Amino acid sequence: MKQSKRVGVVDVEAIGIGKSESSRASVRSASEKKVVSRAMALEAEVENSADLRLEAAARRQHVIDHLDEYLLAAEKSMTDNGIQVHWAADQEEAQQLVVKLCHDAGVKRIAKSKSMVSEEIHLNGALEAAGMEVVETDLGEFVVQLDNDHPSHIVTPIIHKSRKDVAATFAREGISEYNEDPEALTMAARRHLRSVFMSADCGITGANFIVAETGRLVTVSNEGNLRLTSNTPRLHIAMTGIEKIVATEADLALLLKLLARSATGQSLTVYTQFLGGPRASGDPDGPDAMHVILLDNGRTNLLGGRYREMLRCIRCGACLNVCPVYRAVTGHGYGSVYPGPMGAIFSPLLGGEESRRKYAYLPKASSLCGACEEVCPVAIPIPKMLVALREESMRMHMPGPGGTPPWAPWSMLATSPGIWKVALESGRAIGWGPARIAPVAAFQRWLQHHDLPAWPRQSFRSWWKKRDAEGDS
Amino acid sequence: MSKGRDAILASIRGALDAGRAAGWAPPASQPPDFHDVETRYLDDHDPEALRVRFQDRLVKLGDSVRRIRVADVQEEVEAFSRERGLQSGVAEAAAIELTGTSARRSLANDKTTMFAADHALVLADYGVAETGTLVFVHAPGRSRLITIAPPLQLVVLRASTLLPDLVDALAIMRDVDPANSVAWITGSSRTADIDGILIRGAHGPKELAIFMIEDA
Amino acid sequence: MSTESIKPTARQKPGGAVHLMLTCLCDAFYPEVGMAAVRILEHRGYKVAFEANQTCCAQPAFNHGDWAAARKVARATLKVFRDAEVLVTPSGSCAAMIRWGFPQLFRGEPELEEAKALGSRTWELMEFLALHEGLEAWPGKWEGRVVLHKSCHLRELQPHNGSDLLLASIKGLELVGPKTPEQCCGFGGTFTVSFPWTSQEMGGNKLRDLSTTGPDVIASTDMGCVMHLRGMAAKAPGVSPRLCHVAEILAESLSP
Repeated sequence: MKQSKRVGVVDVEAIGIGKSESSRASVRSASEKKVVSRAMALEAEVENSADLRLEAAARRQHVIDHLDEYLLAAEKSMTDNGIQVHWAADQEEAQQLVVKLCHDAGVKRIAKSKSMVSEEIHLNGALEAAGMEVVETDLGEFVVQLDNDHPSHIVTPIIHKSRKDVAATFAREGISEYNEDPEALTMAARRHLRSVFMSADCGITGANFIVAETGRLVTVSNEGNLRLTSNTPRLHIAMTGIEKIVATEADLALLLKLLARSATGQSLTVYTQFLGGPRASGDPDGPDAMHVILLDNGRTNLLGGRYREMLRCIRCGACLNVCPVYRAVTGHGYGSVYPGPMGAIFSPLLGGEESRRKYAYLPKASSLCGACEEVCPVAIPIPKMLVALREESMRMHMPGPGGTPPWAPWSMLATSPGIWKVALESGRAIGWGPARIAPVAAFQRWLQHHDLPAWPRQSFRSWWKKRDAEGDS
Repeated sequence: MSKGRDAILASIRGALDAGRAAGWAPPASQPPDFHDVETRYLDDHDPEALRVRFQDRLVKLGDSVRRIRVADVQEEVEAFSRERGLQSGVAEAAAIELTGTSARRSLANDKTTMFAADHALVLADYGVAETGTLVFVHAPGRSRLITIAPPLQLVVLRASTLLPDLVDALAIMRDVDPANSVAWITGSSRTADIDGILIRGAHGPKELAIFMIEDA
Repeated sequence: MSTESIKPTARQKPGGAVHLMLTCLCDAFYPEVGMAAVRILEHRGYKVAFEANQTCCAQPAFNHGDWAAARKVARATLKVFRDAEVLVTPSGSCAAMIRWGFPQLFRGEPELEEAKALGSRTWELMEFLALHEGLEAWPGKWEGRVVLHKSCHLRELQPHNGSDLLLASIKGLELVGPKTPEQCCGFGGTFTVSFPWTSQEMGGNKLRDLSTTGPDVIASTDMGCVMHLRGMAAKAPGVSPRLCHVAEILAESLSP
């Protein structure tokens, strides 16, 4: 297995090669199904999805381009509803905030619902270090936690695992006897986690959107643990990125019509929850206190510049599902919290200089096929931004994958037609013989899997000349 | 490094100002270029069409919709409860009012009872035909857990409250106090996390039995 | 079509001149594709012109991020085709480079307008047949089962199903579809050199999918894809179908 010589740089090839064929097969099969079900759902139920996604893009971009105004409006609306709003500039501040809120409320046990933002800031470790117990309640995240693993997809965390893997994990951790039946496994998790909802002092969740006009949090989910986590414990902390603001509830129509269909092929997820605030006096349930944490953590790096369109992302995962590179290396191949095409852009840009270097490879690990842009419900031009990141990397002398030819000599060749023609003629005359033994590591690696194209006996140019000379037409 | 609200706002404003100056982002004063795209999929107000579609969507999701007359609701709910051997449910007062009282369920709404209940009897405020969605508006005093903790949901719905499309469901939220939560429920809890196999009743209810009262 | 691409609007009258952009790959290795393109354009009644000083569209350097080098080569390309009223190329990726890549490459540069103008005069060959010529059928005969691999860069061009329609219309030709048409073959130009294992994994997945219907031929709209898949098939065990450009089939179909 090839190791990266550059310390600290994520090496997609090495990670990808290291994944088992079974893992890759699971990811391929799940991805194929999701691509089909997305297409079917849109075709059957959304007659003008092309128009909708462009309008969704425009509305999302408008909020992003006026983010300070909309965040302030959202803050006011939420505060009017009795939600306590906090702003966290970075991972450290966010961790400290959550730990303090929990500590001040005497929290011992936390029920957690799936939140990519909480993964991004490595929240669980900070809470555990502060002496609190954190239990993931999303089935996939629960398994990931038991295995000390990482999710490989932003919507379906364990698509790299099979039922055998989950059965083994549950048996090992005493959740159930070894049983590969998905229903039995799910019921075992349900039984085990039920008591967690009831006994937790605090529920921590993400949020899909915050509506600036009304201050309601919008969450979409299927399993039910998000609703249980946000409404059972006495304290609810919701965290989300600053870019997840939607102007009005009417705008949600566009996004909700596209989100679940893009993500899983469902018309709507089972639970679409609009959380207005903590329990009012007289309410039998709901948290006594509800806090929302608005996280920057590098999002302002993307704001206003050439990558600003990436902030439209609504985390549907459609780009991961369709990406052929994702299918080849699996989500773990990206070595980052956010995998896939959206991760290739977010990972180098969220976080500072260090992330830029560490993830310099990611934007290059793409054939620029454009399938991601094609399926994105908010029409994010991902390939354009991948190429822009490559251009910046070049200018900033970032590390890159070895082996690509130097471009200055090539550009000299390609701007000198005389030399170009001679070079091609020489190639035809000499053939590949000498080149095959060239000590260029990348070329030799490539040769292991590819045969070289044959040099033709007659070039197009000589055919054309002959034709012209013969007066052919 | 400066942190918190002011720092983030300053960071945002700085980034937006710089972006506008460099031509990456449009000027702040430029009005947005929004278009009126049709997000509505269903505009049919024919009551029968709405009921048929609503039922069809839920049946496809694996749940049931019984179309009944108001005079039969008590009997239908009781027959179903007897058939399933339901004994220790929780119920909303409004639902009990419609369906009659029963020893099978109580109005208790403390957490322990909620989580131990074998079923819930609730009254949905609206239904949405486009997607087979039930709408619950949490006015003050209403339980949120009742529609998520008990494993079997008996849901009473007046057919006259069926809305055609999600666009209509969002429109009614204008009249709801922003501090009040709203839950849209489209079928029973499910997951496909393990090998992509769909399993119902992951953490939330495993089954919805909807009693749709056709009173008009 | 990507929202950022230039749309070709230049039209040529019957009998007029159409310039051929051969592409560097065909210039080096695939003269038969250039010949097929000439055959097709002449069949449509156009006079084909070939600028001898053409070299490359600059895509490899652009994709890699070396925009200084890319601009040098792109400027030369702008110069070579300055007088071409209509430019046609048998390559989705080269057409996309001019119509999608050049506007990014020349942003803020003096050549931007000239680049956009060239984009408005550049057609991909199958796009030209479908949208400029308005064809839905192709004459002649060609016996065999063909699976069509539409290359990824078509996403940056105008949508059309001309390739499908024209191939399916040929007498004797049975057109079958791949199961996962949206999946890239893994070539990606410099991508295959920088990420050889990933590229091969993607290529293997693609070849498997394209071969399931037992086709006689896998036809593509880009020789990069053909070169990559041919190179892999040669190293893989078992019988593999012929891999070629769609233009070759259309030209062969015309032969007496």
